[in-house]
Amino acid sequence: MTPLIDVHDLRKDYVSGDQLTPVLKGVDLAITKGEFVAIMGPSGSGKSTLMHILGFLDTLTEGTYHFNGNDVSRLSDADLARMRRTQVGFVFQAFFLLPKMTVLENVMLPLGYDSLSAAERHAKAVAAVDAVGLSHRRDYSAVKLSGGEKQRVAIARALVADPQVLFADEPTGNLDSTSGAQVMALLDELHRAGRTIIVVTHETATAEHAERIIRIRDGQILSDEKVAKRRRAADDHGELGK
Amino acid sequence: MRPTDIVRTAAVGLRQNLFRSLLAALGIVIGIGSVIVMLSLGKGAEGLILGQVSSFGPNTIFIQPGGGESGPPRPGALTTIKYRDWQTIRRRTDVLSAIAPVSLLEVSVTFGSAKKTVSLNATAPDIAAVNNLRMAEGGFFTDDDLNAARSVAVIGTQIAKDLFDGQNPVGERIRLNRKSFTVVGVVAPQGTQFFQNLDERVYIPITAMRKELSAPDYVNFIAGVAAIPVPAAQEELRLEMRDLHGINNPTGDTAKDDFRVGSSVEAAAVFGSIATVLTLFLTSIASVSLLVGGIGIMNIMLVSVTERTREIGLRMAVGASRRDVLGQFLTEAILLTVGGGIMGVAGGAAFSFLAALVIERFQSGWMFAVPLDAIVLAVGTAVVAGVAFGFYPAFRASRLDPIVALRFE
Repeated sequence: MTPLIDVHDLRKDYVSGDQLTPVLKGVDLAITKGEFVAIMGPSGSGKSTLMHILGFLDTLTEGTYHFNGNDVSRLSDADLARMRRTQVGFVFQAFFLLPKMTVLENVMLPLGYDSLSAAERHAKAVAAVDAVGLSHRRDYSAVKLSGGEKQRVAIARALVADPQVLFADEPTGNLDSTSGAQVMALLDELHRAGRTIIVVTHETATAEHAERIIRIRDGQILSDEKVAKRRRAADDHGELGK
Repeated sequence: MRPTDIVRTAAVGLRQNLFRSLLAALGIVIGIGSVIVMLSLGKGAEGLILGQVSSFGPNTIFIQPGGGESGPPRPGALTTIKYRDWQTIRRRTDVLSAIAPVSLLEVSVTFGSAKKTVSLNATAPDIAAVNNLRMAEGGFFTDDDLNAARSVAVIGTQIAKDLFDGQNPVGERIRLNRKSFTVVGVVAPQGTQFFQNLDERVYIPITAMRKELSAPDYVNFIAGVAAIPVPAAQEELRLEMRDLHGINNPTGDTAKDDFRVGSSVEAAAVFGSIATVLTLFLTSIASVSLLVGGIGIMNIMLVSVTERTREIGLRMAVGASRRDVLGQFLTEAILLTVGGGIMGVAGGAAFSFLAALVIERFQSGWMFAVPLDAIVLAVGTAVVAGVAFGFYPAFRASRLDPIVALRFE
């Protein structure tokens, strides 16, 4: 079976002035459809850069990247934008909702760059908001939501265009543990429904929701292991109960 | 991205900071507004001049003192058109279908205890044809009155109103500088022409003026209506006048003449070109404020792009291409300038309308008009200003690196 994501000897250098800083130093990685993967590492390890490249926000310096069997190593800006619009969805630590818009408008945002009719967009956005359990908040202003609700809106926004992969960058980093547990429960649920999920985090509790943990240090993969006993939402609640 | 979505997205962007958007557009509102006011006033002046030409009739010819083509006559040259010149020229009915000398005199007119200082036009009955006079009461004095030097007068409606207070003046006797004249007619209202109130004039036979009031050997000017094409009539009259004044001028150099033969069309052309130059001059000054408004838009857009860096990063992360971002911010700038332009057109039109109401009180025949081409020009300029001043900020937004933009604090 062709992996959904397949990178080989991936390298990324940043140039600052006349100084060349290698951030990723030859990463080999394959992720199949439907996997739930956590990428862990200390800050500066290159885990965010890896996610940006895998999510078409950044380009690689050397190596190859095949997405769904297609070579996407060297795409133009316009093609990268198209890949982000159709193939991937992002959830960020700081939510990045537009404050003067309603929940529904925020979720609809990615569809604005497509050629769908207004009715289709509305229907898709409503379905996405319902899927994260926020039907009752649809017309709320985004600023009036709690942190956990905001992150669920962000997840709805990431899913509205029905992408192949959901990237989550420290999705629980700005949340209290209850809200964080709810968000992770939602990701578990999406995974069970067949969605490919890649979480970047430095929190073990968050990473243990995944089936597989990839540890990165100094731009290289340190370990790539299956999670023996996956953490479930119930575990989070159990821990809270202690 | 669909065009409607681009506009909607841009509108949402502007709505996020409505007050600032309105302030940013204000410069354009004022710029476009003042251009519209200037063009509208220019149009009004043009209409006024054309209206006055048609009130004279395009075939009107004037013989005035002073040589040359234009400019004021030499001092001391104001008396060169003689009474006897008219006596000869009035026989040239092959050239002029109507001809009247005009001697002007400030006189006091009294009726009972009512008194008023007016402009007396001592002339011939043909002046009614030259000036397109219509009568409200009675009739104009006749050639018979002229030849017999009868003390009769035709008065303007304003004098009739002021002295007679609603009573019919025809048949009444008025005094002009203490000399008694009988009113035979009242001229229908004419309004104002070149800033003179035509309804405050008194017309009497020039022969009666010379007999009763004063008898200079000159007249202020001679006016006539051409019976043949105007340039040919002008040339005939020049030859006749040179003959009368003993001027040897075979080359036709008008600088050697002591008179000037002009036409209403020429006069209108001079006034028209003055109005055009003034309009252009004032419009270019108004355009400077448009430039200032455009710079204001650019400034605000640059601030907006910086403030919304994270929004731009997010939009890129969810699939906006650089072109989408460029389109969004460029459209925001164009919406600002076009919105400002439309408000400017409305405001400028409203101001011009009020100005026309005021001007109308001093100068009748002034019409309020906002030329359609001015509106098209204004809105077109607004679009161009939006593109010109919005492009750089929009370009900056589109060149942002999405990762850097998302990390922007």
